[in-house]
Amino acid sequence: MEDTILNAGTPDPDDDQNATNVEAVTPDFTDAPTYVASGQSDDLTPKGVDSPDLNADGSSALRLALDAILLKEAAFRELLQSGAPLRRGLTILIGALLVAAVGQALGTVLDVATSPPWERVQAVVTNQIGQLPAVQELMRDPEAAPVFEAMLRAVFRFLRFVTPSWGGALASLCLSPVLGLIGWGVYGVLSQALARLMGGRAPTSHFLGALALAYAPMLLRAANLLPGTAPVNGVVAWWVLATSYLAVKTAHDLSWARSLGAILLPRVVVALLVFGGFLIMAVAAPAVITGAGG
Amino acid sequence: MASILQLITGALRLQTSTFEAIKQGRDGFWQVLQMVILVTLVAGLGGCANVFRDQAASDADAQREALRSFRQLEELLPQEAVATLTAQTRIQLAVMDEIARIHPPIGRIPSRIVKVFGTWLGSPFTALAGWFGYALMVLLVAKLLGGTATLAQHLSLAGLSFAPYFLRIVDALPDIPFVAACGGILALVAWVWGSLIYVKGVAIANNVDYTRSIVAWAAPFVVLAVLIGGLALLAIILGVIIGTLA
Repeated sequence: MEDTILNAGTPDPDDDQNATNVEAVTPDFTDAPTYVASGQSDDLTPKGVDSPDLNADGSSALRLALDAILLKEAAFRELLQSGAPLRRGLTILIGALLVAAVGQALGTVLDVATSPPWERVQAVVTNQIGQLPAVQELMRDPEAAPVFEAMLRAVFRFLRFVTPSWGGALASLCLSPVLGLIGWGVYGVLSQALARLMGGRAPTSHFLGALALAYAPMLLRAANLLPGTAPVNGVVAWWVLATSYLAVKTAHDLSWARSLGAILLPRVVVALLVFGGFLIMAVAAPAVITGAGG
Repeated sequence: MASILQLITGALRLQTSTFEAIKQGRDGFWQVLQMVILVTLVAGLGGCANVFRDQAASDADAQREALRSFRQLEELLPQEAVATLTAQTRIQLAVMDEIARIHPPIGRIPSRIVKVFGTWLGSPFTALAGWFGYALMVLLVAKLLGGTATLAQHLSLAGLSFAPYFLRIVDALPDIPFVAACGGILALVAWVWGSLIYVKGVAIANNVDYTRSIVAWAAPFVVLAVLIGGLALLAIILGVIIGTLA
């Protein structure tokens, strides 16, 4: 029975573990990419590459992306050993981000079409809040009423912002690929700096290419097309973390602990900065609202 | 399909050969992903019954039930508190009733079909959302305990724990008391069975003994409990300090 399960049971040469198990029958794929200087530090070509594939076609990019999604280290190795890892990686990254953005935008449109119109929901809520005795009492106070109204407006503005809308669909279509690219750049530079500090050897362009390939799981966000598939975003976040770890480990040939550090620390720093920003906004918001109300 | 069913059977029977086959297989992770998708879609089929159920009306019914239960609270809580609670719930109920009457642009029934179908198709992602992060934390602990699994091996073998998940097919069925009771028991069975598969998977993937595997499996729960406990303690201490200062 296991033979049937093993219909794809050929040992995986990409795998450190399996490579050891089957080294008698398969070539050793476990060597990390070796970089040979050709003048500039960031213009290094992997040793032993005779004919770099400078014109990777769409199907090969898709295959690489799918292999990366399936956590195959060989995909990262193949990208690193090609002639133009950054260009190939960027092609995959941009493709994945565009697919994700289109899926998200269409999903938002479908969400708007299947949900009660926001304006009518807001009218219902406003009307009911206005009937609360405590609110009616508050509205009779000439000083408190404007502040309360300003706060209510701010809350509705926030809710309007997070509720699916036509504008939101357009914004996600235009903005999410850009934000994705910025995220890749920021995390890429920070992770590269950390990995180099920890003894990594990969040139920046090679590492950024590998990290771009690590964003391949973003393709799964096309599932956002259907309402109710929001959890895909959480899965993709973990998946990208896993593939990013593989990118660092493969490109820099670091131990698992250092690879993890290089990929996690920048995220922790950015998360702390964002949290700090929100904290400042939360502290400042009441003052701003009160000012606006007054 | 046949190989996926065999994979499910092997995992359910905790067959070491099945675990080893996935560990050594070139496409082990892909096979396990297919299994997870199949099992979670089967488990999610129960939720498709929601097409025939008006969610807004069900929510409103739940609110009405809550409103009735507040009367029993009158003996336990101050009258003012119960009155406030009742007033707030009445407002919520009114809001929900009115919103339920608003038609979505494409109509109520098509909207419900699209949402239920979307939720069903998204059920593999819902199942994977928490699992993925948890599996990565288990891998981290397993590595600290001397584990040797690669990322794909660990996730593949941990993913086999989804095999008993099909037992949760009754989970999402509309609320029928007998079905709900069966669902609870089956969910517990699925969890225990899945945990056994998980522990065995972690042990085989990482080449560690079962004790270490159990430690790795339990560690995220312990960390979470300590974190929640620590935060609760911090909140109590802060409350006491603020109370003292006030």
